[in-house]
Amino acid sequence: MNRIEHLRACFEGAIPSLIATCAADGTPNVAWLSQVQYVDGRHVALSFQFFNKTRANVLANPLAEVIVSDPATAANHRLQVRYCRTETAGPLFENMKARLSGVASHTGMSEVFRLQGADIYEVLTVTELPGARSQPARQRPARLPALRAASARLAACHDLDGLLNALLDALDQDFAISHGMVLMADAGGERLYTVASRGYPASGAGFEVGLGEGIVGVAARERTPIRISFGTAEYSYARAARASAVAAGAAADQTVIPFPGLADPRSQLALPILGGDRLHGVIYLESGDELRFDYDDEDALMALAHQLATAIAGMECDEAEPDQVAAPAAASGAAVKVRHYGFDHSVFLDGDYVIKGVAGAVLWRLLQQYGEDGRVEFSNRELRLDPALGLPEVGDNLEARLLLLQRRLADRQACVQLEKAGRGRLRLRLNRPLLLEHVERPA
Amino acid sequence: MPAEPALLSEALAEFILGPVAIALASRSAGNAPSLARGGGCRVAPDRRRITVFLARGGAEQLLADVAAHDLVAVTFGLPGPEEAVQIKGDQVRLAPLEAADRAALEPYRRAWAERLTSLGYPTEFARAKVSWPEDDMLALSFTPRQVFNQTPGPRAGDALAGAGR
Repeated sequence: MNRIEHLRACFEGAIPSLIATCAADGTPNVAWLSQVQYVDGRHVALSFQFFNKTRANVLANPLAEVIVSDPATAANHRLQVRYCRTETAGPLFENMKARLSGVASHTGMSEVFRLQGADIYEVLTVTELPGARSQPARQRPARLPALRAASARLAACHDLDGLLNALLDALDQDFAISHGMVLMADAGGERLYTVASRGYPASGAGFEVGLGEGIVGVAARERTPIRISFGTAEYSYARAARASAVAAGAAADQTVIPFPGLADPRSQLALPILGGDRLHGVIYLESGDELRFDYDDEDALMALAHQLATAIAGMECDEAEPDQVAAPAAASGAAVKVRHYGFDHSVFLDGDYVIKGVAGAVLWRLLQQYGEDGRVEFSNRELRLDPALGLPEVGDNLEARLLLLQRRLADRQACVQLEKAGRGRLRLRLNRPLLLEHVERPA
Repeated sequence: MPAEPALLSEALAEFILGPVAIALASRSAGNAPSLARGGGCRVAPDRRRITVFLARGGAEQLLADVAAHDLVAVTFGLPGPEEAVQIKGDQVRLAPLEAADRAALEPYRRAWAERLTSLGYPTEFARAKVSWPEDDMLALSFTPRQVFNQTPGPRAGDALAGAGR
């Protein structure tokens, strides 16, 4: 027996593990390990933080023995392992770095633990050690039935809005995960912006994260799920935002949408939505409880994220022809001043910030056309082909942009609203006359 | 000629007798390491011998290795502050538990279980962690030769007593 899938609970960092090594001169050494990471059924990775005796020994003599403990049942397992190599960058390294950060703050070692490398070991044998067992304090629900139910919800959807709602429903009702959001990647894959969320006072639609920023940014950059099982300031968006607000002084940027999530999450999970070689976005989940997400959650939700990616990619090839329908808009009352800044495509309604970037450019374009001929119905296809918007031919994520725009307008309870008008079509709803004003940049 | 002072200071002896987690390592003729968990220890009045208790079941390779090569490394770790020391030694002797060993085992069992529950582990988990089968327990005594700091950080690995590594 040399497979370790069934021991994954031992690798959550809840209980320190042990390692025995032997120097070239035959002197044995035994030490504690803060982190043993499951890599696959035949490999584990140990955190390399300091050049200590254990490390010197395995470089000279690659054989080692490890004992891991199950935090629920108290069972101990001994693994005979052989050191293979060290990784100092990439998905596994970032994964371990994020998790170590959680373990470090959990044990008061934030100033001490710093990952230098992920030391990868092949598992040669696995032995269960004798000893008493305890009944797990809580039983985790089975994840396969939850995945099946969730997968069926996604399979029933026809558009991005429906898909993301179904996903959030599934997380909440099938997986009992009550806090989460979906961020979509921009066309260049450099930034991610929130389009849907669940479980927060504010929707946070439009909240942005750069590649490599926090747990979502790292999951996006490395294209790997990242899971942290304890609270850690290093990966807290709320704390990062507070710190940068202090650094920036009192003048808060109106166009920055605040992070809608928990101020102090104790568990975090970021799952990339990957289709082919394309990153569509990231699902971010969090909880106020420690150790809320485990390896099985990560597996089940990555399968769901892959299904989501396939569904999103399918929708992009499936679009209706435009219909030229001009409907009169019932707008009355005092005119609202719409200001569009050309330099970042930010749009303000009577001085209130709504949106910027591609979604801002789209809103401005729709309102311009409405201003010209009163048209309120548009197709995704015409936007995609509109030279004024200059969207890339493929991978423009237009659906996600439109959804973001729709959510932002709804969040602001703006006098302009956007709604679906059938497959690949959208409709403007206006209840006030508009006064359009284009400015290149603020004075 | 005055006797050399004991390698183990009073403070170190007090530390390893506290509510610490214990593990032992040795190695085979081919330098393959062996590892086992311990459950409590005792220090001789002159602090020149340490006796660690361990269950035979699961420690067969380690027991064979210490018997064949007379080398042992033992780590004592205090969870919470995450302090740890490793003591390496020789002149290893394996014996059944004596009355003095049994007298030391029970208070350790209680203290270690209390430590675990104070750290938030469920009572039943803590109980399982200290329920060694007493009729399977052995006393492994050895003479300490080197003591190393193992508290995580840049000073980990520093020799606290005895020859450097």
